[in-house]
Amino acid sequence: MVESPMDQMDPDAALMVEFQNGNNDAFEQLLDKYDKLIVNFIYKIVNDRGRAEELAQEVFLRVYRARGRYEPRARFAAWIYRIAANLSLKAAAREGRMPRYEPKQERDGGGGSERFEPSDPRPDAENQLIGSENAALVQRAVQSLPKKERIAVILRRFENLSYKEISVAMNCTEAAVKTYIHRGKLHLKAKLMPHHQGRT
Amino acid sequence: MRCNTARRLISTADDLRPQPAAELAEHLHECADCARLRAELDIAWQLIRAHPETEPSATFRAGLRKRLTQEERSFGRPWPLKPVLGWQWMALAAGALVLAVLFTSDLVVYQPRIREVQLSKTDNYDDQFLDDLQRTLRDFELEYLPAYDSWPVSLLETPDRDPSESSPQDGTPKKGGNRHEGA
Repeated sequence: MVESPMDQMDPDAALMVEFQNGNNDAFEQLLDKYDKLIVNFIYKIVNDRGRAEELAQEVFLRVYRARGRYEPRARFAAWIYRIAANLSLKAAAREGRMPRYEPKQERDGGGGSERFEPSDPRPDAENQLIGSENAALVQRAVQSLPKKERIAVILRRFENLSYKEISVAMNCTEAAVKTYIHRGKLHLKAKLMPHHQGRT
Repeated sequence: MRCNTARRLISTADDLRPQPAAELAEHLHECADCARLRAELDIAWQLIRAHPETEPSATFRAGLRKRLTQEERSFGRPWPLKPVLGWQWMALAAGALVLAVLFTSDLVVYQPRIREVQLSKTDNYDDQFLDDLQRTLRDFELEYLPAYDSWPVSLLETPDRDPSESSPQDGTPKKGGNRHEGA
């Protein structure tokens, strides 16, 4: 059996090519698969649900407009995350700042007393962090990252993109991506470990 | 492997080739500080999984479809209402206007021009009349006016000249002598 080039192509890129050829159902399938992912990705960057949806709509509009000149050179995910990252960064620059998470406790002077509360007897740290307070702590730590470190960390940790795909999405080298992730991890450790050690 | 190298590689150890990965593992086995750093980074990496997630609202798809429909309509129009360029378009138009004014300034600013006077038929007749008059006066002068020597005869005579040739009536004008210029 002879393999055609489409057999080796990323299935999402193949859908985009189908959409390029006039199949509007392919666009609907891409929308079904990526709407939640893109909204969540932008939400983690801008930290505003309404703004995230507005920017996610803009991302899909750009995909729609770019159907004529799309070339499946990389995974579709890397391409659409690149659009989303660029839009988020531009929006943040236009608004003059990257929004930071400000929990009520900190505004009231109660910051610093938060601790990660164990919610599961198992020793796995990931399973222990399901409470809303823990989520707020993590959200604040992620929002405190510099924007490029934040995007690299989110794409690696939440969207499971490879270093190569992240470099495509961020328009930089793989070495730069690894540096962003390394620095991001160090920042996160500095922000989260005091709370984690306070619990243990 | 040194600690500095190991700490640089710890965060992205999942992407290392077999040789550096083995060297890093050996170093972490021997160095407690680097092993502790790696453990803490791993914990922080796990902790951020607790970041809250969100679901697209019910209006997300409807809003997107509305914007897509508007996009379709604007694509269908021969001349989209939305300008292709924003402020660049205005800057381009302003520049073109300035250039147009510069190149056509002699049309806008009044500059009187010296026109070549066209002679009328009457003017031509006048010129002809004046030429004829001048020619007539010149001919009349040549034909009819006598020529006078303004110099006294005594001055015209040379010393070795025979005095008997001279006229006894000095100062009498002689016809056909030197003409007075400009008479």
